[in-house]
Amino acid sequence: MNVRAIVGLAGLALLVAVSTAHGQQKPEDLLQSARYTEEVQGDLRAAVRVYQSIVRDFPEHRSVAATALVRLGRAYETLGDAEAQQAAYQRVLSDYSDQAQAAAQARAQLATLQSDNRVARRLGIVTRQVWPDAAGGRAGRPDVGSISPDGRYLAFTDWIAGFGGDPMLRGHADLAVFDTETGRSRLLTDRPPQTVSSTYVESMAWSADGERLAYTAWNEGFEHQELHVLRSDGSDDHILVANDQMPNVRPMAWSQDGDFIVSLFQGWDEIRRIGLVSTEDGRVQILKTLGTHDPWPLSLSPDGKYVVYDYPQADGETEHDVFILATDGSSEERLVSHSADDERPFWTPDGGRVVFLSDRSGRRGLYSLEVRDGRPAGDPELVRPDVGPMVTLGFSRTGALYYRLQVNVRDVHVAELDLNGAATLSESTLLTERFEGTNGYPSWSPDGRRIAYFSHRGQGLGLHVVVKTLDTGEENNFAIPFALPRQGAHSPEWSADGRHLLIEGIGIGVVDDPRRVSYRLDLETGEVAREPFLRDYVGRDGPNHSFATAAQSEALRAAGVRMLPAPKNEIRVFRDGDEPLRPGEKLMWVSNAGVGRVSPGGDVENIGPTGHVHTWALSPDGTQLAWAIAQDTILQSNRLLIMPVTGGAIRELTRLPRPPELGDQPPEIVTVKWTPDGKSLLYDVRWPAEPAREPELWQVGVEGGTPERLDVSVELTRLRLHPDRKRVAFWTQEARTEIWLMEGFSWQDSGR
Amino acid sequence: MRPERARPGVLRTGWSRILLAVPACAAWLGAVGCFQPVQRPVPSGLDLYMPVPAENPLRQDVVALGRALFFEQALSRDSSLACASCHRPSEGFSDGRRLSQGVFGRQGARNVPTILNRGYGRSFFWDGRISTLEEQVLQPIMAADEMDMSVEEAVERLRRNPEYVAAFRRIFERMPNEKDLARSLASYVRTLRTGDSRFDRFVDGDRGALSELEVRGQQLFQGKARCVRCHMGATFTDERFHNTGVAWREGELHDLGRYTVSGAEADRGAFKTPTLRQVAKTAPYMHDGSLATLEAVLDFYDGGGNDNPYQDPLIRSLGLDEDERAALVAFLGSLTGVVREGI
Repeated sequence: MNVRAIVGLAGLALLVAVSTAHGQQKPEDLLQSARYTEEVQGDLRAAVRVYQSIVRDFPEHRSVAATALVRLGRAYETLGDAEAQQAAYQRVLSDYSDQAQAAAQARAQLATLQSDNRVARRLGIVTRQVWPDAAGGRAGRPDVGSISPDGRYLAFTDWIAGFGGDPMLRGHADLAVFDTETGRSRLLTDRPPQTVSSTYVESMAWSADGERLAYTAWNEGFEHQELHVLRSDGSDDHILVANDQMPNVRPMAWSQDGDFIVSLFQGWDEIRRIGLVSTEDGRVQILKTLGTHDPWPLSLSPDGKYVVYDYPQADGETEHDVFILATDGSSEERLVSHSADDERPFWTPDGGRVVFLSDRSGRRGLYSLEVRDGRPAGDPELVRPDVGPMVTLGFSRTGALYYRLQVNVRDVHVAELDLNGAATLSESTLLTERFEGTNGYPSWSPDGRRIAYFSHRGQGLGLHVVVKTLDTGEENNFAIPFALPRQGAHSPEWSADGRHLLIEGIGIGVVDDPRRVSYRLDLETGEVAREPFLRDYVGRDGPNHSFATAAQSEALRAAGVRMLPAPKNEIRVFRDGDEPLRPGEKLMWVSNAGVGRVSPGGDVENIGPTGHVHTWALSPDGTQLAWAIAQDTILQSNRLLIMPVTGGAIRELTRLPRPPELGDQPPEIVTVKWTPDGKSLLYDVRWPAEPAREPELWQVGVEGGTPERLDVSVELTRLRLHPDRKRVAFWTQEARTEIWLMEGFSWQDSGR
Repeated sequence: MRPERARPGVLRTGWSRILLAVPACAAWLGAVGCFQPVQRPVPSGLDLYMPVPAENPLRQDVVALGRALFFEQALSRDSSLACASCHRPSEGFSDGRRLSQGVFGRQGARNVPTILNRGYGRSFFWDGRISTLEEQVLQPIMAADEMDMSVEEAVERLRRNPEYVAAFRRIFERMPNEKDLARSLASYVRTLRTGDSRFDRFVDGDRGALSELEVRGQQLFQGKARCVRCHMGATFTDERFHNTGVAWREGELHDLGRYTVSGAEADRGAFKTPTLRQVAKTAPYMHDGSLATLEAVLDFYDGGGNDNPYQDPLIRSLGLDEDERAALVAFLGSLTGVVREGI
C-alpha cells in the first residue's frame, strides 16, 4: 500500500465520519474534507454529496455555503452535468449575492457558459439568471427594460426613493443601465428631483449598434412625453419628439441603420398609432392607427421591412393574435391567428423567425414561427412548454432571449407566541423546506396537530393544499382544480371534526370574475366539491370579507341568524337562489357603513353606531360579532366593538387615541381576529399620520381589561394562532423581479 | 323632376382621359409606370398603411379604369346617373341632398355619406352591412332607388362599348366582367383621400395653423363635448355603431339601422359613426340628412340626442354655451383639407 493509498483511506475515513455525524462538525471542516475528496481522491460524486450537505444544512454559514456552491458547480462541470452546474452558480447569485468573491466567481462562470454556445448546443435550450433582483427594492414598472444588442446591458428606469421612501416625493426616476457582467448599475441621466407633479423616465430602446438609447420622459408640466436620444455613455441627450397633441410616445425598436425608430404614439383620443420617427429630424410618419389597446412589442425585423406585434383578436376580446405590418405601409397580415392568446412576438436576430408566447396548449408556452417575405412558412412550433408568467424582452445579437419574471417568494413559518405570557414572538423556523418560496396561507387543525397550507408546485405550478402532521412530519398533498383569488385570499378553514377543509377560490374559467366560490376538500378521499352550505358572494367591495366556518354557520343557524357582508354600503337582502328568511329568522348585515339587521318584511335597521367599518369577525363559536368602526375620520377615534349576533348590548373593548394633530388621519384598526378559544381579540393598528411608524399588534380580552401590545411584527392577516395560544404560524411574502435569458435554440445551430 | 345629371364635361373628360391614360399609364395621376406597385402619396394625418386586399392590389391602370367607371352613367338604368352623381367631388364626395336620389327621381331612405378615406374603413353603408369595398361598389348599381341595374346588365353595357372592352382586355386580359368591374371601382375609391388639413398641420407642430377659437374648439372636442368618444383616430371615426336617437321620432324608431344586420337589440336605431374630415363640406348631416347645419348637429348633441330605449349611453347632455358651440364649429371647419384621388 503506497502513501497515496494510505492518505486516500484516511480521507475516506474522515468523509465517512463526517457523513455520519456531521451534525457535530463545523461546516468549515466539512468543506475542507470535501475539497480533499475531490482534489486528492478524485471522487467527485462523493464530494458533490458533501458540498450538497453543506448547502442544505448550513445555509446560515453564508461564506462556506456560497463557496460550497461554487465548488459544486465546478464539480458538475467536470461531471458533464451542465444544467446542474448552471443551477449551482445561479443559486450563488440568487441566495448569496452578498458573498462578493463567490458571487464574482459564479458570475464569471455563468458568463463563460453564456459565451460558450457549445454548452447550449449540448444541452438544448438552457436558461440562466442574469439579474437576481431587478427591482432592487425600487418601484418596478411593468414592460420596462431593453436589452442591449450584445446582451450585456439592460436599460431600465431607476426609481430612487425620495422623502418618506416614496419615489414620487422628490426622488428621481432616471434612465440607468445594468451591466450583467459586473452586476452593477449606472445612471445615464440625472433628472431633477421629483415633486408630486413631476416627471419620470418611462420606456427605452437600444439602437442596433448599441451606441445609443432612445427613451421617453414626461415634460415638466406632465402634459406630454418627450422622446429623447442619448449616447450609451449618457452624453448628447437631446429631444427628438415633443408633441402635446400626441401626449404618449414610446420608442420600441431602432432600424439597423439607425435612421428611424419604430414608436408607439397615443393621442388625446386614446387611440394607439404605430409610427416611424426619423432620427435625423424627428419627423413622424404614422404607419397605422389602431384602437385603444397597446400593440406589443413592435419588434422590427433585422431588414427593417416588417414590424410584428400582438393585438386583441377583435373588439372586446382579451385574446391576442400576432400581426405583421410592412414598414412601407404596403401590407398588414395576421401572422398568427388562433383562438388562444398569442402574444409578445419578437424577431430572431437572423430575421428568419418570430418567437411568441401562446397558451394554445392550455398552458403558456414559447413558440416560434418561420417567416419568409412577411408570411408564415409553416405552422408555429413549440419551443419551450410551461414557461409560466415570463415576460419576454427580446433577443440579443447572439440569439439569447431575455425575459423578466415577477416572482412572489412566499413561505410558511412557525414560531412561539405565548398569549398568556410574554407575548413576544420567538425566532421562527420554516414549516417546510419543500417547494420553498411557493408556500403560504397556513391554518391549524382544531386539535392543533396538523397544519394545512397552500402551495404552488408541480409542472405549471398548480395550486395544492398540503396537510402536514406535526408529530411525524408527514405531508399529504392535494391538487386543487382552481385558483386562489388574486387579492384577499383566505387560508383553508378546517371543519370542526378535522375531516374537511373549506377553501375559497376562483373557479376555472372565471379568473377575471370577482365571484369567489367555496369548495370542500375531503381529506380522506381527496375529493373537491362545491360547498353548498356556504353562499357565494362578491366580497371585493365589502369590508374585510370573511366566510363562516361550519361551526360558525351552525351556530348562526341555531340562533336563527344569517350574516351577510354587504358590498358598497348596499344592503342586498336577497340574491338569486337565496332561501327566503324563515319566520322569526333575523338577517344581520355588516357593511362599510355599520352593522344592522333586516326584518323578514325587509325593514333595514341600524344597530349601534354608523361610520366606516374597517374590519369585522365572528367569534369561533359563531355567537359574537366584533367590529372596528371609525365614526368620523377627522375627530373621532377608531373603536373596537362587540355584540351578540342576535343583537343586544354593544360593548366597547377599546378606543384608539385621537390623531396627534387636528386634521391628521387617526390611527386605524385594520384587522381584527378572535383567538381560537374565543377569549380575546387581536387587532392591528396603523398610523396613517405617521408613515414611519410600524404597525402594531394588540390583544384585548373579550371580557374587557387593558389592551396589551404584542411584540410581533407580522401582519395579523398573515398570522394563524395555534389552539394552545402558545404557537403561531404565519407566512411571509416578497415580490422580486428577476431577469433571465434563454438560449440554445435549434435555429441558433442552423447558422441561419 | 329629373335628377340632376352628372356634369357631362366631367364624364367625358374622365373617360377620354382613361382611354388615353390606360396605355400611357395615366399621366393625370402622375404615373410611375404600368403595373407597378403603388407608391402612394399620403396626405398628412392619414396612415401610411391602408388595407388593400391581396387579390386586388392597387395599380395605376386599374385605378384609372375605376375612375372612368366611377363617372360612367351607362351603369344606371336610364343612363342618367354615375357613382359621381351622388358622390360629387365638389360636395366632398357627397351630394348635398338630404336623402339620396336615384334614377327616375326615386328617393332613397338615407343620406349619401362621403366616400373619402373609405379605404381605411372596416364596414360600409350607414348600417355596416358590407365588409369590403369590392362588394360595396356594386350595391348602388343594383339598388332600385339608386342606379337600378343588375350587375349582369351593367357588364353587358360595358361589353358593348369597344373602348371599355379594349381597356379591360389590356388591363385584366379578359372581357368586362363583374369581378373586374368591382376591382376597378374599389381601387379608385381607395385612392380618394383627404388629409393635410389645418388641424393636421397643427398636430404636426405648426401651432399657427389653428386660430385661438379653433384650438378652444379642439379642446372641447376632446373634453367637455365628448366628440372624441366616437370621432377618433386618423379618420375621426371609431367605425362603430351608435344610437344617438336621430331615428327616434314620435315614440318609435323610423330606421332600425345596424339592427337589420346584427339582429342585436342594442343595435336598434344605431348607425355607423361618420368621418368628420371635410365635414364642413358634407351637409346635411346624420344618416337621414335631417340636420342641415353643423350648428344644428351641435344643438342635437348638446341636448343629449333623442332619448330612446336603445340610446347609446355615451350620448348625454353636454351643457355647451353659445361660445363653446361656436368654437366647436370653428374647429370642425379646420378638418377641411386636401382631397386627393389617384396614386
